Amino acid sequence: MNAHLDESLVCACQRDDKTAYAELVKRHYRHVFAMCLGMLGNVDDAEDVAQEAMLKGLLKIKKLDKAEQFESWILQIARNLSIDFLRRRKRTKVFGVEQPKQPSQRTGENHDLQQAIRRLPQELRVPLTMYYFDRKNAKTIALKLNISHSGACQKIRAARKQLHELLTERTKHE
Amino acid sequence: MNNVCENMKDQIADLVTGILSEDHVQKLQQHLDECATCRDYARALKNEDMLLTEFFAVTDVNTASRQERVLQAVNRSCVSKQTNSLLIWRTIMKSTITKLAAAAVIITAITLGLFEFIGTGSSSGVVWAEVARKVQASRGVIYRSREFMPDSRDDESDYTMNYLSSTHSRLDSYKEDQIFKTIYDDYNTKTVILVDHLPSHKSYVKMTFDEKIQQSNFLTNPKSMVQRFLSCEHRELGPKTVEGVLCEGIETTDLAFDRSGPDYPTYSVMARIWVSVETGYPVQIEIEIVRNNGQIRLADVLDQFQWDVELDESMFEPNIPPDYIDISP
Repeated sequence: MNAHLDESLVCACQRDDKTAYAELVKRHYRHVFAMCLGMLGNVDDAEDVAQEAMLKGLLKIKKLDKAEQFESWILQIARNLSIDFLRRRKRTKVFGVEQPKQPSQRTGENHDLQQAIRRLPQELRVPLTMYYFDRKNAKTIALKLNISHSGACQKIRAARKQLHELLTERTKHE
Repeated sequence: MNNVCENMKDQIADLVTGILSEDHVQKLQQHLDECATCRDYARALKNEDMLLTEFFAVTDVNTASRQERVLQAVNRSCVSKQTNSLLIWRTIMKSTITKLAAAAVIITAITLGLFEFIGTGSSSGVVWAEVARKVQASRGVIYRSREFMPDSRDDESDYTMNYLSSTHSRLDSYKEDQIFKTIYDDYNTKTVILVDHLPSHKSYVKMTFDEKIQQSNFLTNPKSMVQRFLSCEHRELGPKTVEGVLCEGIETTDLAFDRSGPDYPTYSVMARIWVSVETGYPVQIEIEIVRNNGQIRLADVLDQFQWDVELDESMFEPNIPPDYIDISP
C-alpha cells in the first residue's frame, strides 16, 4: 500500500507535479533523518545531510525507474551523502543531541549515553538509532536497511550489549 | 554469572529491547526469578533502554520543524527550477530583438565574426553571411524544442512549441502530448506570464524580467544564433540530410558560445547548426552546454522550423481560464 502510494507520488513528480514531492518528503523525511543521524552521530550534521538528500532526490527523481522503490532509493542517497560527508569531515565532532530546554537531572547520563553511542561501530549505530527513532519497530528497520528481520534483531541486540559494555566500562573507570 | 547466564544475555537484551519472541519470554522469566546476577543485568539494560528512549525522544522533538525547513527548501528549489527552466528556455530557444542599441553592438560583433569566417575560405555550399541576414530579417519564427538526455529514451511526446515575433514570444510546453505550461513574454512591457495548466495547479504567475535576462534572450534566440556560431571558433561539418532536407552544418565547442555569466561558469559546449542548402534557413540546431562543473546540463534540439512567418498578434494575448489562481509574488 505504502509502496503503491509512493509509486503514484513519484509518477506525479515525474510529470512535474511539485506538490507530490512535498508529500514524499512528509512521508520519508523522518527515516532519512534517522539514517543520517545513525551514520553521522551528530544532529546538526544529520539535519544538513538529510535536507541535502531530499533535495538531491528532487533533482534526480525523473531518473528513478522503479517508482515503487522510492524509500530505499532515497535512503541510499542519504547513506551515500553521509559517507561523503564523513570523508570530508576533517575533525571529530561530538555526538550533539539537542538538549531539552529545561535542565534535566539526566543531563550527565545523557552525555555518557551520547559518548557511548558515538563509540558504537557504524553498522550497529545505524540500526540502533533507527530502531529507537522509529518507535521500536524492528520489521520496519529491516525493510529500510534491506536486511532480514532476524538480521535487524541481531544488530539491535549486539548494539545494546555493546552499549551496555561501553557504559559499564565508563562507570568502572570513574 | 555462569555459562548459562552468559547464554541468557542475548535473550535479556532482546527482552528489554522488545524483540524477544513470546516463546522465550516465559523461560527467561523463570531464569530471572532464580538468578540475581541476570536480574541485575536485565535491570541495567532496562534502565539504559529508558535512557535511549528518552534520548531519541528529545532528538525527535524538533523533527517536525526540521521537516518544515526541508519542505521550504524543496519549495524554493521548485521555484528556482521553474525560474531556471524559464531561463534555460530563454537561453537556448527563444526571444526577440527589442533594443536597437543592443542590436547595434551585436551586429558589430557578428560582422567581425562573419569577416573572420569568410576569411577562412569556406568551401560550403551554404553562404553563411546570407543565412545570418535572412534569419535576422525573418518576421516571425515557429519551431519545436526538445530536451534530450543521452541516457534516456527519445520521447517525441515531450516538447515545447515556440512562437517568436519581433515584440512577443509564446511557449507551449507539452508532456505526453498534453499541454502543461504556457509562457507569454511581452518585450515591450518586459513582462512574463507563466500559466501552469496541470490539473492540480491551474495557476499563473506574472513577473517582470530585467535587462540581464532580456539581453541574454536577445543574444541566444534562434534568430541571432547563426551569428553566435559564426562569431565563435567553429568547424564545418559538410553535407548531411536532416529531416529529409539536404543541409550543411557547422559545429562549435567554443565556451564563448555560452553567455551564462560568472554565476554559472561554462564547463563545456557542443553545438551544431544545420542549414538547408536550398532555402538557406536553419533546419536543426543541437546544443549541449554544461555549467558549474557538470551540475547544470542543458541539452536541447530545435527543429521543425518555420521561418519568416506572419504571426497574428492575438496569439500572444495571455489566455488564462477564469478558474486559474493568480500566484504572483
